[in-house]
Amino acid sequence: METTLAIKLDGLSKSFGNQKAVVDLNLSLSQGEVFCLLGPNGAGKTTTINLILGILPPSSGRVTVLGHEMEQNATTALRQVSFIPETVSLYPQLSGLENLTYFAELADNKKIDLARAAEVLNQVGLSEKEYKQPAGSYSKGMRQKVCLALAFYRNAQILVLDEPTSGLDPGSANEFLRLISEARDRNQTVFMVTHDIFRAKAIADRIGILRSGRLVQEIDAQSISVTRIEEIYLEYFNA
Amino acid sequence: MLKRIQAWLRPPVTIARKDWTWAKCNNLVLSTVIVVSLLSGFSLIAHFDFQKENNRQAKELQHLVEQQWDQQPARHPHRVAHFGHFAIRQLSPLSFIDNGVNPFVGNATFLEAHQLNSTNFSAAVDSPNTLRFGELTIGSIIQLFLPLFIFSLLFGQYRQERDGQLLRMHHVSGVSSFQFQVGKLVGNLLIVLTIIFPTWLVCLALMLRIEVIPTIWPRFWLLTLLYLVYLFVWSGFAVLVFTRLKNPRKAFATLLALWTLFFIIVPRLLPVAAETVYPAPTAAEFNRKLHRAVSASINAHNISDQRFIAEKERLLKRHGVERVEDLPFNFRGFGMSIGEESSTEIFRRQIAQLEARHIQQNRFIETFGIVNPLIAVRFLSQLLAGAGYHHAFDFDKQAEQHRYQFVQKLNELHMHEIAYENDRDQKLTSQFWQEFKDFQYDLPSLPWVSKRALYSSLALFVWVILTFVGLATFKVRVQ
Repeated sequence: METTLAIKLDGLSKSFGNQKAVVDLNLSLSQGEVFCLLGPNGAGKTTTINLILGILPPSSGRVTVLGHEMEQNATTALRQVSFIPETVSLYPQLSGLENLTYFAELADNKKIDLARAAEVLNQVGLSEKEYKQPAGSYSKGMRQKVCLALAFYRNAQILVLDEPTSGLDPGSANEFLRLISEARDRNQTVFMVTHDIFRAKAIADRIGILRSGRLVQEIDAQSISVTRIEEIYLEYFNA
Repeated sequence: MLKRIQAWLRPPVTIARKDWTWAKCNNLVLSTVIVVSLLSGFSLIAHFDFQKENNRQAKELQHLVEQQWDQQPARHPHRVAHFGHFAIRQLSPLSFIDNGVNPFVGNATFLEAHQLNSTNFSAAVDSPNTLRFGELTIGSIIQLFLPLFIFSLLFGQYRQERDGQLLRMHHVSGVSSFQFQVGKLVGNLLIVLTIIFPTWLVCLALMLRIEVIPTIWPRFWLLTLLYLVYLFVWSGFAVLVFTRLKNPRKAFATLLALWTLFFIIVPRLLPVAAETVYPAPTAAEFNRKLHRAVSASINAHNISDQRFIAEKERLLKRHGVERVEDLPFNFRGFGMSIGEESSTEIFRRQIAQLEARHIQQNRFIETFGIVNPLIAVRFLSQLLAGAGYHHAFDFDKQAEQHRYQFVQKLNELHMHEIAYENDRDQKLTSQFWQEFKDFQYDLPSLPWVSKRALYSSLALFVWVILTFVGLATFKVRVQ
């Protein structure tokens, strides 16, 4: 029986005027897979995320999320997606719990089970006292946890993460990766964009290297050492 | 179907509720709410007191002139016609909400035979020039400052939502641009309405204390609806600007520039432009022209006036007599009557021309309501409050009608109660003067108002449609 791919990018390209941000990107992610996209600044990583999320329309090619083509059926496609942006600020006046219930209610279009929301927030490591505080007092790590809790609460099939570990202290970054790992255990697909080769190696099933908008290399992360990944990465960018 | 509507409405309601919570927790918003509430409350009560006092004085004065009229001693009716009468204008009961052109138009007209006097004693003439900047009524606070407050609210929200990538999170939540924008509009509209709600309740309480005039309550509710629609339009417009422009600071600056243009510059330039396109005579020019026209008409005081002589000949022939003394009525009274008829026809023609010119000027300004909703709302607000230029003209017309009626009634008395012989030496007892009706200005009916409100209502309706179309069509720029 053929299983539906979580994310499928077919000949995806995006240009801004004469500038090509993403060029003929082909990529398939199975359900439960963790994929990390590496690349320097300006390589087209965030544009790729924006294309996957339907924030930007592609110049050519298409994005399919769990069998739903993004351009045709964005609402249905996005119903299964949770996104954690690089600078996640949440609504500072609202508590972590209120932020979670707000976005969950928007996404699921139904009343929120507050007990379950609290349970999920606990699960990602936020105490009752913490998740009832205004999010304005949260660290980046705590804000990311709220976003992850949102993904867990919604049982989103796909998590799209933009530079999730940048700006986090090593302890928080490792804690975050542990939660990603738990997501994989729940068969959630993770598409993550990062600069962090070491953590990419630690968490990913596959790693892609993006250079000037082109996917120049796909690596099976489990069959290769972190030093080799770094060498490959640098080969492309010193070339 | 109902379930689908409910499902569609849930995200906008959630967004609106969140914006409401956001405002509740925002100290800047709370302090603005307090300032605006205090300012509008103070303005409301101050204007209500002013209106009450003004109308009390106007009523007293009107009563005084009616008393003076009734208490005239035995006099010749034509002397009474020159003794004259005053028509004192009271402020419309809703002037405390929108004072409109009240400070710039006169409050009292002296009514007498053969003369058309302008309405004098306007507040602007007796006040410093600062009055020209407009008075701060609750109407002007809603019209001028609440849109500015909406812009500030949205700026605070969008800055947070763009900088914090929260718009992207909304997008990923599957909320459509239309739902998001409707939610924003409703949320901010609710915040603004909450600010104005206590003041409006005070307004309602004050309304219960004023003298009931038939059209006042419908006018008040229409005014409430008008401001609601107006705030809806500005909320929608501001939401569209903030969702279309990437940078909230640029969006805010754009809206501030538009506010300055729409609210400060255009409303002050338009009357100048209207005056240039449709020049109206100054009061002195108008009076000169009127005087010339009246001088050329039948002069009942001048027995050698050829037209007067011709009228006399016609009358003698009709009654089959040779001398005016043989007519069944006093010929002098008749002469006064046709003289009055003739000069009044000229007055009314001249006034109609002047009014037509003012209407052209105001139509010219009103046309811009399609570009600037403030213009449309200002017209409608003044019209509903009974403080617009239409009402000022209407007062002049009713005063002029009253003048004509009492002068002609005096001429009738002159014709039938005073003999031709020794005309000047005869007098009528004061009992006659008591039979004259007092002057009473009647606020025009709602159909009268709606006829004059048509264009601006249409302009505002177009704005409402455009707002809906904009919200449904334009996509939120998430990036």
